[in-house]
Formats: sequence, C-alpha cells, structure tokens
Amino acid sequence: MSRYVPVQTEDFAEFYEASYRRVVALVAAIVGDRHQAEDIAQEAFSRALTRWQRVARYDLPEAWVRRVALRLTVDATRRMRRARIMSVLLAAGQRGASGRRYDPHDPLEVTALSLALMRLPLAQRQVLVLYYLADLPVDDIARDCGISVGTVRTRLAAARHRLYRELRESDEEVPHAR
Amino acid sequence: MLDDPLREQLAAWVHPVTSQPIPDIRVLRRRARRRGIRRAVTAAAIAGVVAAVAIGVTAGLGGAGRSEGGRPVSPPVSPPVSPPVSPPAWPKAPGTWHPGAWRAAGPLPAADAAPAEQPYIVMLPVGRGTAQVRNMFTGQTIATIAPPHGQFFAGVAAAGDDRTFVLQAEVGGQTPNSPMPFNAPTAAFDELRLTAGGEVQYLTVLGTVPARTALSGFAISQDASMLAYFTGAGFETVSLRTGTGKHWLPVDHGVVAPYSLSWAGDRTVAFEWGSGNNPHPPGMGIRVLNVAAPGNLLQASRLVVSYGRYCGARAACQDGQLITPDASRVLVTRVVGPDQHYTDSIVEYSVRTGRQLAQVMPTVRTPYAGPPCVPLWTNPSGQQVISFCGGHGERYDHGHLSRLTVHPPMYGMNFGAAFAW
Repeated sequence: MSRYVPVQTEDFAEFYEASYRRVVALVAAIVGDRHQAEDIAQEAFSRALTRWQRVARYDLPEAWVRRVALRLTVDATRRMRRARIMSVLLAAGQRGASGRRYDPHDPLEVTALSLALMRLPLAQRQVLVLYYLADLPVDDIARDCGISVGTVRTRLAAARHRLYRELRESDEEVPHAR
Repeated sequence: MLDDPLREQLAAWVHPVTSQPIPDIRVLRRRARRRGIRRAVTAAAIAGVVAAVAIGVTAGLGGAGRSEGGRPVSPPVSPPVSPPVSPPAWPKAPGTWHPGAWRAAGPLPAADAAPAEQPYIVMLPVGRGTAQVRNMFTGQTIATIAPPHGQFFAGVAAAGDDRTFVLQAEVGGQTPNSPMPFNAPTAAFDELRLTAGGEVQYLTVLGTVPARTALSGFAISQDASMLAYFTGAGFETVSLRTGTGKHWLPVDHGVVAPYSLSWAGDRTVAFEWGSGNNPHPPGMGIRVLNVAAPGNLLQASRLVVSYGRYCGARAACQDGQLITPDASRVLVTRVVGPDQHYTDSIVEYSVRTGRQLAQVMPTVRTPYAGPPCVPLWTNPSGQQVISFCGGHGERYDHGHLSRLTVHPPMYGMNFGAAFAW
C-alpha cells in the first residue's frame, strides 16, 4: 500500500482514482473483510461525489472520505460483531500450516496478525490502522476520529501492547508478508 | 514485533484488496443516485398522508376503506397550501410531456393523520429495474411492478395520498454484461396509481426528458400535478397539467443540493442552497421557493434555516430534509461537532419564523459521526413524524417520542433501495 499523499484536484474522477485504494485498504484492515470494505469505501466515495463541489474545496478531500468511511465502519462493525466473532473463531479453526483462507471469496488471508488485529476493540483498531497503515500523524488521527490527541496516544499504546501480547501468546509465528 | 515490520505486514495483508481493479465510477453514481432518490422521495412523500383516513370516512359511500376497526378517523381536509389554482404561466417544458396522461392524486390526509393510516411505500430493488409495493409496518410485499417496455426504474417519489407515486426510469442505454443500463440517453417519468389494497391500478408515462438533465433527485407535489427535478446545479419545475415549466438556474455560483427537493402543496418547494464555485454564496441553508413567483431562484425563495444552524460538522452533515405538506415546518437533520463527540438530532423549524419548534428524535451522541439520521415521514401538520436513525424507527407524536417498527428496504446500515413513502 502506498503511503498517504493528499490529493488536490477539482476532478472527482482523478481524486477517486488516486484515493480509492488507500481508503479501501484502511477499511479492509479495520473490518477484516474485503467485500464489506469495498462496500463501505464505495459508499463513502459516492457520498463525496454527491457533495463534490463542496468537498473539493476542503483542504483534504480524502480526509473527508476517510472520516465518512470510518463512520461507516463503526456501524458495520457493530452490526457484524456476532458474525465477526464467528468468522474469527472459524478462521482460527481452519487455519493450518498452509495458511488457507477462511472465505474462498475473500483474498484477505488469515494470519496471526489479522486474528490479533480483529480481537482488538474497534476504537483501538482504528487508531492502530490509521497510524501504521495510513501513516497518519496523531493529530490527523485525532481529527479523523473526533477524539483528542491524548486519547489517540492512549489508544495507540493500548492497541500496540495488546497486539504484541496477542502475538506473543499465539502458538504460531506471524506468517510473513507475501 | 517492531513498528516497521508491523507496518510492512499490515500493508502486505491488505495488498490483495488494493490490487483489485478500481470499480467504475458509474458504480458510485448509481449509488449516489439511489440514495438521493430515496431522500427526495421521502421528502415528497412526507406529505404522504393518510388516504386511509379518507377512505375510512367514505367507506359508507361504498369506498374500500382501510380504517382499522373501531378506530375513529379524522375527516379528510384540503391541504392548506394546494388550492386548485391554475398552473403558473410558463413556457413549454424541455422534453416531451403528455398532459392528457396526468391524473390528480386522491384525497389528502387529515392534518393530524397518524402514520398507520398511510402504510404503503414503493421501493426499487437494487439492480432489477422493477418496483415493489410494500407495507411499511408489516414488511409485506404486496405487488411487483414491471416497467414499461424499454424502461428501467431508477427512482420513485410519492404524492400526498399514499396511492399515487411517480417513477423515474432510464430509457435505452448500453448494458454491457449488466442488466442495468449505462449512459441512458432518456429519462422517463411514469405515474403509478395503487388501489386501496395496494395493488396496481395503472401505470402511465407522463413524459420524457434528456437523461443528462434528469437522472438525479426529484420530487412530486402533494396532488401530483407538479414535478421538480434536479438538472445539474439548479432544478426544473414542470406542470404536469400543461407540460409547461421553469428552469431555476443557480445564481451567485451556489448550487442546489441534488436530493434536497421536497414539495408542500403544489406551489412550494423546499431545497438546500449551498456552496458551489462560490464557497459561501449568500443565503446558504434551507430555503423555500414559491414556484409561481417572479424572479430568479434566490429572489423567489426565502431562507428559513441558515446553514450554520443545522450543520456544525460539515464532514458529517446529512442533506435530507423535509417540508411538511402544509408548508408550516421543515424537518432538518442537525449535526454538531466533533467536540469529543458528534451530536445528531432531527429538528423541526417554523417555515414562517425560522424558529426551532421541536426536536423529533432523541439526540444521538457518538465519538464518530454516527449513522445517518433522517426524517422519513410527517403528517401535514408536522405534529407526527417518523424518523430513522441507527437502524430503528422513532416516532414523534405531539411532543412524545417512542420507538416504532418500520420496514424500509435496508442493506447494511444504508437504505438498500430507493423508496418513497
């Protein structure tokens, strides 16, 4: 995934082409499901399209889309909480030496890292993904999540601590990136 | 694990998602259109009123009433803002219109009608091009409606009688590997009339316009005589009685929000006026237009609620608002924040004075912007309102709030199909 680079353009198609993959990657890392991530990302961009004349004038239109997407993940995650638990359990049960996927239609592979990530509380998962995957500074994360910088730091520390503890407790090594 | 390996592994984990092709931008346009249509529809439908009441009252005259056993029903009243006056003197509207095909909607509901008296919604299942009639309170599908030959239903709006709906359809267009048309050259507007039992009475074509000017939000007046459809920055109002119309062009480089149109009676259109090429055009906010008045869009309209009063968090504001059929109030989603939290609420404002009259949904506070909260239905007086927020319906009844079970078409947290109530 490419690092976050703000896109400044009046052309929505150009903005969409440049930003879509970053947004869908963020959402995928938060919800752990490709289809859900694509649905949320498309919904966020379609809302931007509806309001493009307004959104294009913001300093960072992608930040607007990201905030909308984060907002959508909150509700989606609440709705999917039960299914998520089942998926994680199922994934853990199916996960073998081959590291096969728990959903044949979803290319997101089950790894010790993904399992640990999905066990994090949503609020911690969001800041962790925004920090490590989107490479955003804590100030921007605070703005995106509507929380204080101090809260971002607290959540980030807690997420990191919990993630590393989960990984340590895992019997299996974290599969290496492809 | 160190930070850098964590970064690398996260990026590698989601790589299969980012390596997928980017969806065609038309997918977004369709989503936006469906969402907007639903808003415009609900706005026009607001009015949607208790035809059942009228039917209940006229049952003794042989009408097929829907009134619930033993329940007293209010007498039907004429909508205060839609007297049977002649349409404005406008020139011929763009497109091809068939004034002879238009028929007036049935009796409008009583001013203080209850929602149960108006159960029917018309929804458009995603990607099928058909329409369905559903009972909003039971979820029962009553009828499925195929479009006229060559058409693909893409939007729907409701008049005030709970029996009359206008469907917007795409006509023609390429359909490569998809049942949905792309780049349809023409948009059609069809009038759908339901029987008392919710079955189809008739479906007739009202007119057609070039699709490039009319595949976005639209609304139909309470008596189904007037249409308003978004045209790219402003909107066109068309008299279906005469096939004449007026194009309300934007001024001062502002824009009309595409899905913000809603009618009170057949002379008043509420809309949101916002920033376009000019980030701060004069008079931003919810405005009310007298379509028979002279002058341009801003000269003929009046600011009711300024933008800053209902949008305190621009990234999270909703743009679906409704005007009550009697033109006395507007229902607006107000979003404030974030100041640690966002605060969402739905507020009634007086059209005459702009003052806040009531809050019709409990305040929702969330560290995130929260799920969309929108008004779905109001009776003509605005004393009874149904809103939807966070996956459930909320009823406002003369100052009292309670949860209500409704069955809008849902897909995840969003409305899954355009629908009109």
